[in-house]
Amino acid sequence: MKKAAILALLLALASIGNVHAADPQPFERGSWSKLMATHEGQPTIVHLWGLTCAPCLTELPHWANLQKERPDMRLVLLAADPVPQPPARVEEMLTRTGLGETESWSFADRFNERLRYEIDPSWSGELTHPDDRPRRQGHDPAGCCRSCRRQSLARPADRALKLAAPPTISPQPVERIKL
Amino acid sequence: MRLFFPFLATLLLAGTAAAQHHNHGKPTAAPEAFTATPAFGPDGTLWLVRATADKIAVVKSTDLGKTFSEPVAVTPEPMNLDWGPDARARIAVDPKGGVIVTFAIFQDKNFNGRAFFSRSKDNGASFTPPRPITADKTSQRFETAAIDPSSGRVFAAWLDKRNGAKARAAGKPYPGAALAYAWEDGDAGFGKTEIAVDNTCECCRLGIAFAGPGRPAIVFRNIFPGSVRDHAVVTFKDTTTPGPLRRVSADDWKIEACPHHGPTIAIAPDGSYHVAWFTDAPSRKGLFYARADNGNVPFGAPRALSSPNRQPARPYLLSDGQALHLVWKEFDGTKSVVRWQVSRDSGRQWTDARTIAETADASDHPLLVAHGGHAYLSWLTRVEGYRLIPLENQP
Repeated sequence: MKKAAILALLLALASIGNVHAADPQPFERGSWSKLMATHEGQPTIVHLWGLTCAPCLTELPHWANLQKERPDMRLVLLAADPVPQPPARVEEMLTRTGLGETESWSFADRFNERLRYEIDPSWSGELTHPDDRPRRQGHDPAGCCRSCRRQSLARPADRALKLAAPPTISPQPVERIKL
Repeated sequence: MRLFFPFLATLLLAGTAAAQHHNHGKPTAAPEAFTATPAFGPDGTLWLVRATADKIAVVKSTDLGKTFSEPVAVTPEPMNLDWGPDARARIAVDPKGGVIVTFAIFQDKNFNGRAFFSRSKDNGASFTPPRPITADKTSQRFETAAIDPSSGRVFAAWLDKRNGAKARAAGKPYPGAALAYAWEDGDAGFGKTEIAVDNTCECCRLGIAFAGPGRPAIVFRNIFPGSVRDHAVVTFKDTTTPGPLRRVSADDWKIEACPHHGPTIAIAPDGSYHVAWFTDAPSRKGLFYARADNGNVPFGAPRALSSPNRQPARPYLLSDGQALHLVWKEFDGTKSVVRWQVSRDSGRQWTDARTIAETADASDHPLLVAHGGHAYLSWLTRVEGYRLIPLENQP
């Protein structure tokens, strides 16, 4: 316990010294293949979320918890808001949720048809698909809670979505969206 | 070690405060609205309302969009405009040439909106200071004004959160928002706000058409039991009596989130109803069209407008008196294209879809507008700017 406290203290000091998480990388035309190439051959979860998606915000802390439980999990966060959001706000939300150090991207092009097409030509931009739950449980490392995201539907990500022992997060009630 | 995680969480929260402090002074400009909405005046003048970062302006054209007047400001000072993908400033011109502009702002970070209107009685030389459409301050969005062609009276409908706030205060659940409406009440603005339907989807644009004098028909995304967000039409029996809710189709799209993708409606001179909409249900994905012979019978079987892998989006219907026009956007892998179909037999048969405009960058929704029996595509694109494209002369 003493060790843990010391470690926590060190972390606290570290976090005060380095609270400024990196801004999300601008997700533009060609970014998806760049992202895929960077993680080539590595099991990686690309989690699509959005600042303007209330259920996504409810869910973010679970990803932070999962990341802590599974430090070996490669997680990439991609804010796919239909209208590009200010990077500082994306950063603020992730930092507040405990995901400030996670690799992060944010849609930075108003031509979102193009960005979505590069990820999955048939993706119309929706971030929640409760109905997809049954066919996703087979390969979704997250378990899967009801508001799991497109990442398991995007074909390139499908290939990447392989973790040895799927950890579980218990389904949480998702608040109704406000927007 | 178990205790470690809560402890860490506390530390992370402390870090948040520091991070916020660090961000202080950093530019966090709101996303930019990018819309242009048209309306024809009785004399054939094309009016256009444009929303930019934090202001709204009106321009007009007497040569069908080839040249425009200098912009006239509607918002005297910068406002936090609703930049949602289905929101837009709108404009309507009454038979006497009176102009009304409606738009919404965000009141807070939770996307609660406030809907405003502004009028011009001097042919667009100036606009009145924007005033709220309704006194209630909870939240209004997706305000849509339409002119009753029989009387020239303005009808406004929007999505309103007041009943949700009341229900929550009473500890009761209240999914979604309410479809609210008000009629123009002389120069005083709008009369009393009434709620037509509770528990509608809260994030999609509305469509309005007139079924007869004083009888608006509104199409909207409703919340059916089980969080199913499919479409419905409500036709007023008279100015203050909303009729029953008529479901357009049973897509069974169960989603507890915001599609940001609203429907469109047209009513032809023969009284037939025409609706097009977007859905992403497991069994029905993409854009669909359905018709009904009149306001009292069920809608017919939905017809798919496009393959779902072309990202079909933003449908728009218009009856120009002789023909029904239908446009929507698709993405072909490189460009966004506007597809057009026309029907001259009340929507029973349609021409093959053809591409009438395209762009290789961001674009607004494609809209339709008509004057004197001529229909036009109205489309704002980042690269080409604003275009008014006549539909009759297409090859």
